[in-house]
Amino acid sequence: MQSTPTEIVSIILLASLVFLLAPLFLLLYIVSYNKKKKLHQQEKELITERFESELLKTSIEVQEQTMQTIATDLHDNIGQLLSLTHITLSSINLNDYEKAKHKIDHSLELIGNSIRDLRQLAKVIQGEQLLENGLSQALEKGINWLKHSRNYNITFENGLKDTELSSASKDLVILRIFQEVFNNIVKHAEAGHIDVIMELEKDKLSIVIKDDGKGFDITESSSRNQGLGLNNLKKRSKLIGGDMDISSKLGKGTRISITVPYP
Amino acid sequence: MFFFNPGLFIEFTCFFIAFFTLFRDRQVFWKITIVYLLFTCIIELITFILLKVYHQRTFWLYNLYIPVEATFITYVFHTFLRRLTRINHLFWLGYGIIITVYIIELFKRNFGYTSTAVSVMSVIFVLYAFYFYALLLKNDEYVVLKYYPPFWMIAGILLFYFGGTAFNLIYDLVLVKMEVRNPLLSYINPTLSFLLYGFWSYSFICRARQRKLYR
Repeated sequence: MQSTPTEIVSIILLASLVFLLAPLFLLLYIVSYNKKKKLHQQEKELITERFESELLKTSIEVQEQTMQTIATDLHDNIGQLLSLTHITLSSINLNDYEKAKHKIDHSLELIGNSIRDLRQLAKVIQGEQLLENGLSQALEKGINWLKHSRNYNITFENGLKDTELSSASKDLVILRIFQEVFNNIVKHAEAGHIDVIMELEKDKLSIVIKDDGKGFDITESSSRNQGLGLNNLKKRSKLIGGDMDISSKLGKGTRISITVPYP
Repeated sequence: MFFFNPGLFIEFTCFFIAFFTLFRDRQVFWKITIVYLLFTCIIELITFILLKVYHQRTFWLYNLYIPVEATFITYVFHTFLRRLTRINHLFWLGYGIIITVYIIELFKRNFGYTSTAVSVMSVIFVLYAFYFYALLLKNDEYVVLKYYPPFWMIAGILLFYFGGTAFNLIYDLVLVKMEVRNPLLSYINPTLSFLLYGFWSYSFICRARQRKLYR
């Protein structure tokens, strides 16, 4: 059966209409997909904003903790040394030359210690300055300071010693995490022995800090305010794309492991 | 009205919009667009005069226009796709196919209307348009499509060539051979032209807006 010219014309018109509508629907689909893309981008921007605000918050927390460290150090070390110097100098009897000389020498020694502690403290505050010679040396200095100022037996396996790798943005965060962990050990752990192992393997830096202190219940401290400090440490590790694992048992010490993509 | 032709009117309107919106544009692409539209208008005007006044055949004029059209539209895709992909040989391949088919057909039909070349060209441009939109969807960067000139310019090309493909193919195969005449059919081409030049005009306005914003 042959089609009439009218039927052919109708078919052509219909086909043209379909051929015209198909790209129109495609364009509509693209516009609607683009709207979704916009929403996705807004979400991404929101996440970035949150991340930046988190970073700022962490930075403020770090500052606060640093100020606390300064206050504690000023009170416990330098303050004590100066008080002792004051007492020693006050008790000087100028008529007893030998004793006075001994006390003045002792005071001078105490003042010397105060000056040394003040310098060390200044270095702790100036993280960037401390990192001038690299993360490896900064951590080594921190450990040496603790070795001198307290009675700790510390071992340090420095796997970064022979490399010149560095990451400006990550080094400071790692240093602050490290300082915070040591601060916690000094404040709470009552430890005698600390092992620090730092290794770099397949672009991943791993730092393990172990102590033989009194340990703590992670679940319990996580639910209380103490968990805030641990969470902050974990948050900081995440900020530089790293991961932190904390394991501790009451009476058996604590092990903290940090793995960060490096450099 | 004897001298009123919708196709001609649409093309001239588009040319004037292009002229006033793109005249000060520093990008070579937009300046070439004005020249191309002027060329299109001149061809269309000569065709119209030859048909209506001298009652002459105008196939040869359209045949002259096809390579220019193929070159310009390929250039449009090359300009817009270059921002989304680095594939350059694709354009040479498509352009080569169109020109080869055009030359072969031109000699085969003894300089008659090269309808196959037009159909091949339409299919290639539709594929380019699909490719452009696929890359646009894939692109992570969000663009405000409402004011994005390439989107509207390619939309016009897609509608014109995709919508025209069915008509061109069937027209060539059936209508010419069967000598079917129907006044409704005469609306298809002006509609397609209206869509093409309408979308292009809007894209020129978007471009002018873009230029003002970044000035």
